[in-house]
Formats: sequence, structure tokens, C-alpha cells
Amino acid sequence: MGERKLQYIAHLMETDDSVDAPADSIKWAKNLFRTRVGQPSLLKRIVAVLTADLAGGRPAFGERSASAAAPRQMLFTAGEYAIDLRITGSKKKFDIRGQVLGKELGDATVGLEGTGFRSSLGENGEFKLSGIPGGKYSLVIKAVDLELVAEHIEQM
Amino acid sequence: MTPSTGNIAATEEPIASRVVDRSDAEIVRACRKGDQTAWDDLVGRYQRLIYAIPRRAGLSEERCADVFQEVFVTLLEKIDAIEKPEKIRSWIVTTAKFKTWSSVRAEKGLYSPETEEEMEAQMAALPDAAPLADEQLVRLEQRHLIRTAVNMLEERCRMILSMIYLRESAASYAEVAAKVGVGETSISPLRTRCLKKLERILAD
Repeated sequence: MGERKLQYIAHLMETDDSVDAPADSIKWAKNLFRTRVGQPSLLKRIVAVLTADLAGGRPAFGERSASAAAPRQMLFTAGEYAIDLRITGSKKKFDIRGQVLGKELGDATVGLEGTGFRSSLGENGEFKLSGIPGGKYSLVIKAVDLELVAEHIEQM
Repeated sequence: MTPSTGNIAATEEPIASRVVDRSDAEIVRACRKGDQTAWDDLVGRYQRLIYAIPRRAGLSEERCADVFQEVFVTLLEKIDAIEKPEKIRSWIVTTAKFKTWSSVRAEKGLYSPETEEEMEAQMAALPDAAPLADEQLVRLEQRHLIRTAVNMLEERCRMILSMIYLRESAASYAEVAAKVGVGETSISPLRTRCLKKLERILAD
């Protein structure tokens, strides 16, 4: 019986295909604790305000129209932050390139709420989400103690 | 028990050499007192198990990361209220299962369960809930316990068992012997001795 148990333990080890969670997720989870220490949760959720929306323009009269339509540019403000989005592609499938401007956010992720589209913010607060099916979305930027939400994102 | 069909992919990195010196209950109590290192230990100890559950259910990497984050957010919110700190593992597995199932349902555009009872009822009704079946989760938990126990072994046994069983491709006895500094013929009995030590830790 003892031998069989050892074989079973060895078998479980040999067939273990688990992997570590992504390093940025582990770091995020560890940092989460800072929102708790000594005070109530400080998780703030700010819904950003749309301050500019330049839908991809048609070329001016007389210009060649061979080039791709200009991206839709949406600019939001959320407290001390600004969120600059450029949306390219068609209504059926589009990409979002963006940048979060303002105070340092630390390890932050960006995603479309309710979907699997997700990315980390780069050094300068930049990000890209690609191949998004047509529809209207809320973009959520999550930092340790803060969430910024830009609503009604879609390609026109 | 079916015989092993060969090595399964596992991380190439060696098992962490830190010996586990606090029980789950001690870590939870320390977290309640605001101990950041205890929380770091808790994350380190359970990150692989939590990530394995949505992964086993076939969720995308992004969805797995979302479930992962949601479990830790909920754990942080509820850590003071968990009645039995020594049962934190069960709490974590149940929470990860619940959030994985909600994510699976959301992805299909279906209503997500509000309670654990509803979740269990939904899962019982569907054949595709197999990846989250109790026996699957038991295996994941057993592997988690084994990895934790391997970390409690002394360095030589930890190295032997990691090289033979926990690497992407199992090391040969010659490789293990060279690393450990013994003759190749010693590896087989050493391996057995180390497995017995592991079994004793698991039995405690």
C-alpha cells in the first residue's frame, strides 16, 4: 500500500501541468494589500468625461481619398488623468490605441469590461487592444487603488 | 491508478528554495494584522492553484488573469470574516471555482449564478462542467499540497524530486547525480527516500 501511495504522489507530480500565474498578475495581487493596511479600502472608481470626439474625417474637397480614413479620436478626462484613444478599423472589427496621461499609475491594466480584451499599460501609459468585434464597450483602466472608466467606446 | 503516461509540461524554473515556515492559519492571522509579507506569502503560496482553476476550465489567458484578480480582491475584502483561517485553501478553491464558472457563463452570454448553491445546481446539469468537477479540483489541490510539501524538504531531496518530476523534461539520473554530487546508482534509492519524506510531510 505504501508503495502505491508513493507511486501516486510521483504520478501527480509527473502529470502536473500547472504554471505560475503571469508575473504582472502576481505583482498586482501583492500590491493590492496596500489598499487595506491601516484604513478602509481606497479603491476609487472614476467614470471619465468625454471632452473631445473627432470621428474619422472624410478627406477635404480636392484631396485624394486613397489613404485609410483617419482614426476616430476620443479624449476623456477622469480626475487628474486624461485618456486619449484612437480607434481604427471598421465597425465590424476595430483596434484601439490609447494612452493614459497624468500622474504615475504604477502597475495598471486596461481592458474592455465584460470581455477578454486586456493589456498592461506601457511605460508611458500606452496600450493597444486589437481585433475587437463591433459593439459598444466600456474601457476600464485598473490600478492598485483606482479604476478609470471610459464608456460608450465604439467605432463609427 | 493509471500509470504515468510521461512527463507533462511544468515550469523549467527550480522550485523556490524558501522553506514554508508558517501555516495557512498563521498567515491569514498575520494578514489580518496588516502584515504585508504575510499577504505576499499568501499570494505566492496560492497563485498557481488559483490560476490553474480557470485555466483547467479552458478560459483564455486574459480571462484567467481576470478570475485571478477577482479572487484576490474578494479574499482581501473577506479576510477578516473567514471563520476558519486553517480552511483558507478550501475557501480559495471554492471562490476560484465560483468566479470561473461565472466567467464561463458570462462568455456564453448566460446568466451567472448569484450563490454557490445555484452554481452547483447549474454545473450538475451540464456535461461541459467536467473541468470544474470536484475530482478535477481535488487533483489540483493535491498537486498544490505536493508542491508546498516539496518546498518543505531539505535542499537535496527538493532538488532530486524537482529534477525528476517537476521539470518540463525529466532529468536523467546521470544529470541528477552530477547536480547532487553522488554516484548515479545512488539516485534511485535516494529518490525513494525523498518520496517517503514527502509522504510523511503530506500526512502531517
